[in-house]
Amino acid sequence: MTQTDEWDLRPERGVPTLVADRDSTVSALFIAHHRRLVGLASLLVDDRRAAEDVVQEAFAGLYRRWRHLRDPNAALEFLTKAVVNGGRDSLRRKTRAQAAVLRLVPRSELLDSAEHTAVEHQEADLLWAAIAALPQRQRQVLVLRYYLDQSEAEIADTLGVSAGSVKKHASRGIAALAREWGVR
Amino acid sequence: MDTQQVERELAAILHRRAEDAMNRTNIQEAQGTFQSVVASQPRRELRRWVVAGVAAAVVAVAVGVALWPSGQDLGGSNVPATEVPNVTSAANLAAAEAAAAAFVAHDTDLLAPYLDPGVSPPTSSWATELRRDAAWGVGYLVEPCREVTTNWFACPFELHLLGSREIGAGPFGTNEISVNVRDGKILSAENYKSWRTNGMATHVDSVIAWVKENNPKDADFLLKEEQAVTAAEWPSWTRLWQQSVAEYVAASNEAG
Repeated sequence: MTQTDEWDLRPERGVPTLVADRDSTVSALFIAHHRRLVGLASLLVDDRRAAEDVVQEAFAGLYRRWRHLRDPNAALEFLTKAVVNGGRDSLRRKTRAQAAVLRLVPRSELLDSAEHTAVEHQEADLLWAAIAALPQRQRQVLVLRYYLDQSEAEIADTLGVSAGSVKKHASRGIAALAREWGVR
Repeated sequence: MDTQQVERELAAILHRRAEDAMNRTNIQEAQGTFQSVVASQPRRELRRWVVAGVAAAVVAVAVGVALWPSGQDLGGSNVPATEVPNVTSAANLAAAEAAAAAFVAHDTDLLAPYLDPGVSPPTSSWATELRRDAAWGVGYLVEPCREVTTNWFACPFELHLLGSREIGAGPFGTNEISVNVRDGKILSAENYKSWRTNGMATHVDSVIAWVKENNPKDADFLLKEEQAVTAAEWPSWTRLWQQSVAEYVAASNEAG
């Protein structure tokens, strides 16, 4: 209840783009980048459906903001940030939901899910579990660094934190994985 | 395992997992969903929004997973708009409409006649959320449900809360209740909400900031998660929220 994260989508000082172009341009961006962003989101949330939801919301946000973005590069930056931050919020919601609500889904679906889990590759799951268990900020930093190959400065910009903070979270995350994987 | 080994292994795992997700996603299906979402986008501009931890939690409860379960299904949202059938089953439509009405009222009695025997209603959480909605002045506007693909219905909705109507913010739209129905019975249901992008987060953050600044002695109590509010506290929690919202509205309108 005390943690505060800020996400500044940047003041609207961009040159307005013709709204008439919006549908076609955003649609083109969707086709070009949806798959890649789902890949990114899948590393920041715990299941693929949630990852797809995060990407959908990112594009919906882009669509609404479109005329305030300067160019396609700004749009891509927006999408990446939206996915990273959306992943964070998705995990928050999931934690709360698991604690507080009853599910309204057919029991057969729960059984299907359990069976599916059982046949997944166990070793990969174990390695991934260590990543998923990291504190959220460490996980974000490691994904941006080792999946997107972002520099510390780029990660700091994406997450809205200092470069020093990025360095700290990266080293702690790597150390935690080394400990966890080292004992397997 | 040394640092370089960890880094190599980490990069490999991340790329494999992302590749797997990318291979399993359906771009046509996703694009159909996206088109249906943007088709209902209100013409409201986002300015700047700050998501606070408290606000995120509060908003998530306001329209999110706590109202309906957090299952994997977003069914109605995940089908191409081009696959909309022309004929809908009256019984299935009635069940979907009942689900939407029950969601708005948080009334499980409205669900009961339409629930498939294999599913359970969110009985306990809805009672709490009904009281919370009263405290926050939540008002829903649900549009007619439509069958977006066989047995899947989408019921779009907008909402006002925390004085948004009175200060000219909102309604916050682009939300949707998705209902999977078969033979007139509800198999699953979930609401799809866009609170991060529909302006609602901005509004809630603004209210919370105002409460913290202008009513600091009650802020901790007011910002408790509603599940943590005891039966004895509900009357005062409700009264304080209603009072705070009224004051926030007055201050906002005076300033604006």
